Amino acid sequence: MKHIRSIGIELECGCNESLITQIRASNFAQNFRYHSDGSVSVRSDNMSRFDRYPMGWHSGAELLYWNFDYKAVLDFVEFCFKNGIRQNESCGNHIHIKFSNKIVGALTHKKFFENFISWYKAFPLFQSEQYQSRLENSFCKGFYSLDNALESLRRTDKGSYRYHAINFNSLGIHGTIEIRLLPYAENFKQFKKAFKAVITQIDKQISETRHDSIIDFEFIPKKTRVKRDNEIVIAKLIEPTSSSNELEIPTMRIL
Amino acid sequence: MKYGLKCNGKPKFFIQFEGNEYQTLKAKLELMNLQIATTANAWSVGLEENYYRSPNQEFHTYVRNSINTRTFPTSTTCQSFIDDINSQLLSNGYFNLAIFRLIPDNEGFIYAPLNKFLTVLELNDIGKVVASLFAILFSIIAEADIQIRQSNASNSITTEAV
Repeated sequence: MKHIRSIGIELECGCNESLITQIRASNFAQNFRYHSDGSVSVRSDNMSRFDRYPMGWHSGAELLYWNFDYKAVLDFVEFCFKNGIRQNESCGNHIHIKFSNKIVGALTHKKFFENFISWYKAFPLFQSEQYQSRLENSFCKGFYSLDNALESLRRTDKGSYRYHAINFNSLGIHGTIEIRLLPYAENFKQFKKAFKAVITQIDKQISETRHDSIIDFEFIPKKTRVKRDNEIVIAKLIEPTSSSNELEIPTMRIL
Repeated sequence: MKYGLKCNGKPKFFIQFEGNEYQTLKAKLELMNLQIATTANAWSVGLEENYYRSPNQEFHTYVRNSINTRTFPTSTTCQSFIDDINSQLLSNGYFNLAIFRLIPDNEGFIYAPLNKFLTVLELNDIGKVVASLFAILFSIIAEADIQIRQSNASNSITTEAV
């Protein structure tokens, strides 16, 4: 990967306490974090909806891991699947990608976002309902909003503005861009294919960045008629008014 | 007028003048006695550029002080300002106001090279500063224009300030 510095993964899942203990005792421990997530609800194997969760089962777990080498991230995920994590429709797999400071700004523009979504929609691997429905999911909205992009870049706390397919809010918090589009996976093999496709596409898109972002604004004042014998009028013209102090860009059009 | 980011190869900030916008600005800059000069190290990257040089320090100081009085509270990109054609457009929270001094190419573009791709937020912040900068330029110019017209047309009832 030419432009990617490091990769992090957030696996939303159900898992046994024993897995977390195993990870904490393994080589993955240093770059591993565990959180619980109230929006995730996964039952263990052979559980009916009326059964109580078995002892030690985390029904809403979020396993976080990062590494400079994406293969190490895949090793971590494989380890988790081998040791009994389960995912369902309430889960998503989020990828955090860190880029060099020189390049990362390019990802925040509309064109990059829309190119990525177009690719995702058309990519053969993602044609099933499992993948396409993510674009309608309120936790990873598949459309670009300039206002939301500005707000999520401005804020350094976590808020609902992060719920887009590509989340820029994590740039100020972790220095990463978060891809929230990937749905749950039924097994490691399925996860691996989707994961590799996404990071390859992101890296490729950056290499091929050839878009311009253009914003319109009007700067030439309208003709002003001034009574010639009144110096106060002249003073008003040269004195910044409250509106010019807060000069806003009237129209924005990012191509 | 438009501003934006060229992402083709090395990133560049640009302003595009349309119609007679630049002619209007040019006439006004010349009215303020700015003179065309050439630098061989524009934006600190060894570019040769023609630009409008201030003949005295007053204009230079006025522009910088005026923009300093305007606050851009949410901007981390433009916290302070310089006005030096031979320095970078952006560096460590400084924004270089000298962008207005450049003379556009035949297609109406002026460019300033950047050492990184800007985020939409950084681009938006710069846009607010650039809009304020031109508002300030026109406010100074309006004063000079009116004074000249007043002295030349003492019998007329109204004066137009453009």
